[in-house]
Amino acid sequence: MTELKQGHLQGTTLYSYTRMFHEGKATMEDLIREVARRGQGPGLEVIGFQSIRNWPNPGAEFIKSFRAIMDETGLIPTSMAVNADIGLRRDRNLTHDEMIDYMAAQINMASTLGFPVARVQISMTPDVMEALLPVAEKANVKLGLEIHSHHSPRHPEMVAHRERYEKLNSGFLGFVPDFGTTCIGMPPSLIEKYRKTGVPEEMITELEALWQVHHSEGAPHDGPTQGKRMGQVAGIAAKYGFGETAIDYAINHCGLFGHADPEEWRDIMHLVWHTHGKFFGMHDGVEPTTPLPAIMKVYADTGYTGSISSEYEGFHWNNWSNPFDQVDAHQKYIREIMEGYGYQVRTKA
Amino acid sequence: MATHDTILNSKSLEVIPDGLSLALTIPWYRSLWVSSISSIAVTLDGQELAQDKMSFRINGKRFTLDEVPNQWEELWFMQDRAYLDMHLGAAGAVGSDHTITFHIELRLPYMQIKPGFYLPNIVHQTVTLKVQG
Repeated sequence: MTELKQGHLQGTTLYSYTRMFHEGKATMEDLIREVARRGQGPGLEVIGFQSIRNWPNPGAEFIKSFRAIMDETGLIPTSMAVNADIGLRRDRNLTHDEMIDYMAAQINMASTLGFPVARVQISMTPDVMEALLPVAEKANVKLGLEIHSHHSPRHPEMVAHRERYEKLNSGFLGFVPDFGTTCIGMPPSLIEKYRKTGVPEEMITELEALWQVHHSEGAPHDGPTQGKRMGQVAGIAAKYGFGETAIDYAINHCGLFGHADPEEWRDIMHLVWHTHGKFFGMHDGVEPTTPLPAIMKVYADTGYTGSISSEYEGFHWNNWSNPFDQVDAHQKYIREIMEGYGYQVRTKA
Repeated sequence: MATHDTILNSKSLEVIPDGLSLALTIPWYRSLWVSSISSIAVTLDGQELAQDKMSFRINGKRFTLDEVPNQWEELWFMQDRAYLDMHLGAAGAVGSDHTITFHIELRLPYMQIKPGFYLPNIVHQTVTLKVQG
């Protein structure tokens, strides 16, 4: 048998266990210890505004205890997810300078806590990213713009980012792909939840059919297309008497389960520092919504050695399965796929 | 979707000296500035409450519902409760049941879809809760 090549670094994000944290059933420390006990690392991703009180100023005691638990468990900080709250004021958006300060505080704390990457999101223009470059370089933290449905690598906004990053060629500005960008269907567990909560069968059929129509048209490349699609979904929900939450259906359907071809990831792999292995639920050892064999083929072909967080998002609707079991199954599936492509996923520090 | 079913639980309805209070968990997966709340509306036992009969309590501070959207330095942490106080003129009765329709709209300050327009998150729930002792 041929020797396997070194693959990506396995990991998880505390986002996968949001429901347990949100319901007060686990502290941040409880979750980290369970991640370590189950061997779901070594990579560990955290959302600052989720897990950490008073983010991005958590205080010396927190910093000390976080570093101590990383040392003790052998987990490795991979990505700190930071947020660009440009609309936090009602009277106006944050100015360019205010945004730089708002982001710099989070990037600097990511560095203090030992994270090599800060995940940033849309709201960041190429200009703001470029202005943050000195902050990133000084903190030695790479910035990864998340490409999340409904965006995709070939969406003009993302292309503009890529072109700027390539021009600057800094080694600090890049991307964090989210696998929810490249789906092939709606999650079976969501459909199950709809049935459990009395959504009429006709409405489910219409929603699934519409998703397929959007899929055949491909990922949207402009706002009006996305807006039109959301309106179509909301229209179906309203027709069946779910007017109060129609926008919610629209956000779910058009915001979570993206339509791009996994091959598009090839465009940006040279600028990928970290990855969100987004998934919505494992069924019989397979993830039916995000086509991992096709996605991981791109990662194998391009020799990606960065980190991948298994990012379970079925918790939004699924209150019956254990998120730690979900991550276990997802990581096992990815290890098997990568072995098939000749790679040994790194599961040790 | 998103964490809607965690905003209220069976222990959420409490007594205050002049009415009832709902203990709320933020209906989103991260902490948000209180300014992210666009509006709150409550129907209590079939009666819609006037906005000035409610106030919002968080981090030891109290705000009128008019003031809430301007609190952009007050963070609602994921694991903390905020309280919607309903001022009814007299303390609620422990052990009594109330049917409440709770409606809250958030705007997510980091998800600007087009200039000045942010992705909303709307929770609309009707629940029957027992007043806790």
